[in-house]
Amino acid sequence: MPAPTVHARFSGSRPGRLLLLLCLCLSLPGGSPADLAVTPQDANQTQENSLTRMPTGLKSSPEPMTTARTVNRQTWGGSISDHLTLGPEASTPGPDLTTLEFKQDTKLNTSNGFYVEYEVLLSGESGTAVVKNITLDSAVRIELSCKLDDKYSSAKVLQVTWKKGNETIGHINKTENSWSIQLTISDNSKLGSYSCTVQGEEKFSVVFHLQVPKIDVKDKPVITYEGDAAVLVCKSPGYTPISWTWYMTNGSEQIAINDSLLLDKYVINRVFPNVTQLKILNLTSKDDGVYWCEAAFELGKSKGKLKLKVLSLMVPLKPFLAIVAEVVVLVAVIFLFEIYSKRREKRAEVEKEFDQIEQLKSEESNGVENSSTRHRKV
Amino acid sequence: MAPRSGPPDGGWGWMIVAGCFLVTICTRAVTRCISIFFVEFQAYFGQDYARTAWIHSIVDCATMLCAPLGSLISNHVSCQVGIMLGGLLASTGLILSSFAASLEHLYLSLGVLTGLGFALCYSPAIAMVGKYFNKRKALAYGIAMSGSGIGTFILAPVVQLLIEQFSWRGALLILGGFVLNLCVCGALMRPIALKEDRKTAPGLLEQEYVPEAQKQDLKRMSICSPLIKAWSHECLCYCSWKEYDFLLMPGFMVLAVSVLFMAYGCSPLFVYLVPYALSVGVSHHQAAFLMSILGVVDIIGNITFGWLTDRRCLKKYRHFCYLFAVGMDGLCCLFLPVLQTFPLLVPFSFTFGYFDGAYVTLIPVVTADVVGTSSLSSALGVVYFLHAIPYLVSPPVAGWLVDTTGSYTASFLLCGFSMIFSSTLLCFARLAKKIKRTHLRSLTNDTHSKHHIWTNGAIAYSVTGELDQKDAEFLAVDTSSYSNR
Repeated sequence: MPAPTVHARFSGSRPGRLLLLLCLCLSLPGGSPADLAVTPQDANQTQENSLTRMPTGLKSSPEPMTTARTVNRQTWGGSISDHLTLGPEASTPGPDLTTLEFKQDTKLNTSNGFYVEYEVLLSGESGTAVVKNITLDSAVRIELSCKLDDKYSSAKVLQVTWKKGNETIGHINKTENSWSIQLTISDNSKLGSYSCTVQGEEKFSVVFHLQVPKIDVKDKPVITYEGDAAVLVCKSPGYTPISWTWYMTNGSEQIAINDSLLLDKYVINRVFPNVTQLKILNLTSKDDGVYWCEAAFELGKSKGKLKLKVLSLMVPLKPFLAIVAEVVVLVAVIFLFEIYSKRREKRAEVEKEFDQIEQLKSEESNGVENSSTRHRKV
Repeated sequence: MAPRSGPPDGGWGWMIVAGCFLVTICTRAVTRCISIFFVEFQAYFGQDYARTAWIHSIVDCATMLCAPLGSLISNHVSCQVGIMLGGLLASTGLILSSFAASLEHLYLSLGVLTGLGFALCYSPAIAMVGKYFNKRKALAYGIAMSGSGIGTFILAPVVQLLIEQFSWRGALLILGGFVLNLCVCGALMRPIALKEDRKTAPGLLEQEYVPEAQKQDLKRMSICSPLIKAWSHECLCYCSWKEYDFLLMPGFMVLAVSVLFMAYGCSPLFVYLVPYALSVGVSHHQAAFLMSILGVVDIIGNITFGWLTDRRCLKKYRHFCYLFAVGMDGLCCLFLPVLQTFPLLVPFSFTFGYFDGAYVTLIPVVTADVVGTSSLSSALGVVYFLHAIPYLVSPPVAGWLVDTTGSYTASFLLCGFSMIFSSTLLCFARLAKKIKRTHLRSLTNDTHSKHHIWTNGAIAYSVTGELDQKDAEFLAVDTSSYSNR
C-alpha cells in the first residue's frame, strides 16, 4: 500500500538535470592485519540501495528540496564504512558544482540545488576493486572523483589513472587530495564502466558502472489457462521511460507487438507512467513462451523478460479429483464403521437381554430346583 | 441409542475433537488464506485493494451472521447432515469462484456462498465437542480451536505454492476440493444423547450450587424431546421458542453484551498491527515477523490455557480466567501506542497472542456454563452471530479514527477500553450474583448445611433448606416423568 507514493514523489523531483557529485575516499589505517576484505557484491548492494534510495529520502513535496540528510552509515567488521550525504552543503573539496552550466537549458531547473556526495573509506587489500553502480535515465553532467584521506597526503607521488573501459581519459582535474573527471552523459555511448586506479605503495581501484535503469519484472512464470486472458506487467521503479515496447518471441526472433498484429488479441495499457501492461486475450497453447518488454530512456533501452505458461483445464482437475475421491472414500469408511459398531452394540444388547431373561428364569425356579440350578451353572 | 450416563470425556470424543480441529482449519484458516489471493485478483481484474478486500469481509460476516442458522439446522435435523451440507456449499462456492469472470461474481460465490457453507459447519462442530467432554472440556476446546492458527500456518505457504503452480483459478479449484473434507468431519460427528440433560440430584449436588442452566434443561427436555421426532408445525415453533428461551436469561444477556464489546475491541488489532508497526519505523520483514509471532503464540495460548483451566483448582474459576484473559488483552491494547520500537512490540505480540488464544478457547466453555449443554448449539450460534457486526464495523471505524486523528493512538485506546469494559461487565455481573446468593443464604443460615439425600430407586430428593425446596419439587416431578417413560 505505501508503494505508489514513491513514484509520484520521484517523478516530481527530477525535472531537468541532476548534478551528481561522487567522491571516493580511500583511507588506509596503518597496520591493521587481517581486515575483512569487502567483496564487491556487498559494496554494490549497499551502494545501490543508497543511490536508489536517494530520491525517496526526501519526504517533502515534489518540488526540489534542499534538505540535508545523512543516510546509511554501515560498517563491515568495524573497519569499513560508507555513508551517503544529501544536501546543498557538503564538506568536500573541489569546485562548487551547483553553479555549473548545462547544455540544453530548456530542461534546466535551476532551483534544484541537489547533489550527492559520496565517500568511501576503504581499507581492503590492494588489488580489491570497489564497484559502484550508478543508474542514469537521462542526460546529466557527472563528476566522478577519487579522494584520498588526509593522512596520506604526505605519501610519495602517486599515479592516478582514469579509464573508460580500456582507454585512458586524459583530462583529470586534480586538487590537493582528489582526482576527478567531469563527464557529460548525453547518449548511450557515454555509458559504461569508468575506473580510477591509484598507484602508490599499494594499488587501489574503484570502478563506476554507469547504466540505464533496470526493469522490474516478476521472475516467476505467469500461469493462465486456455481461453482465459493474461496480464503481463513491467515496472520501472523510480524512473519514467519515454516509451514502452513489447516483443514476443517466435522461435529465435523477437517480433514487436504493434498495430500490425491482431488488435483484439493484444491490448497494451500504460496504467502509470512507469508501469506497462500487456493484456493477451483468448489464450491458446501457441501463446505459450517468452515475452519482452522494453523501456526506452534517453540514454538507452532496457529490457525485461517475462514467461507465459498456458495450461489446459485438466492440469488442476487431476489433484481436485484425487481429493474428492479421498473424501468419498473416507466418508464411506466412516459410515461403514458406524453401521458395523451399531450392529455390534445391538448384538451385545440382545445377548445381554438374553442373559437377563435366563437369569430371571433361573431365579423364578430358584426355590424348587435350587441344587439343580447350581449344578447347571457349573 | 441408549442415553449415556455422562459425557465420555474421551473415546470417540477425541475423534470429535479431531473433526472439529479439521473444521476449524477448513473454515477459519481458509478464510484467512483468502487474503493471499487478493494480489492476484487485483492484477487480474484491475481493481484496487479496497474493493478486493471486501471479499474477506463478506466471508467473515457471512460465517458469523449465519451461525444461528447453522445451529438451527443441526438441532432440528442432525449435526452430521448440517456439517455435510455446509461442506458441500462451501466447496461449491470455491469451485464456482474459480470460473469467475468479474469481482462481483467473486463476491457472490466466494463471499456469500462459501461464507454460508462455513457458517453451517462452524458452530455445530464446536457445540458437539462440548457435548462429548466435561472434565477435559477446556483442553478439548483448546485443541479444536488451535486449528485456526495451525491451519493458517500450514495453509498459507501451501496456497502460495498452489497459486504459483496453477494460478489463482486452479488454486481455488483445489482449495474447493480441500474444503470438501468438511463432509468427512460431518460424518465423524456421531450424535450423542446425554442423560446429563435429565440430571438426577446427586449429580447436581456435586457442584456447590445448582446452576439455573440445569433447571432449564429439565424443563426443556421433558417437553420437547418426544415431540422433536413428530415434526409437526406447531411443536416446531413451540420447540424453537423453547430452544431460544436462554436468550432471556440474565446471565446470557450479560455474556452477549460483553461479547459484543470484546469482538469490537479485538478485531481491528489484527488489521492494524502491521500498518502501525510500519508507521513507527519497523521494517516489512519485522512487521511480518510480529504477525507470525502472534499466530504461533495464539496456538500455544489455545492449548495451554485450555489445559490450565481444566485443572481442578482453576475449574471453578473458569469465568474469571476468561475475564482475566480478555482484560489482559485490553490492557495490552492500551499500552500499544507507547510501544514504538521493534524490541518493545515483540513482547506485546507474545502477550496479546497468548491471551487472544486463551479467551477464544474459553468462549464455548463459558457459554456452556451459562446455558447448559443441551442448548449449547443454539447459544453458540447466537454468540458467534454477535461477533459478526463488530467484526464488520470495527476495522472501518478504527481506520476512520486513524485518518481523522492522524495517529493510531485513539483507535487502540478505544479497542483497549472496549475489551476492559467487556471483562469488567462480566466481573460485576458475577459479583452481583454472588452477593445476592450469599445474602439469601445468610437468611436461611439456621438450617443445616449438610445435604440430605433420600433415594427411592429412580427418584431422588434433596432438601437443603427452605430456599431449595422449589428445586426439590422440580426434581421429583421431572424424574418421575422420566421414570414413566
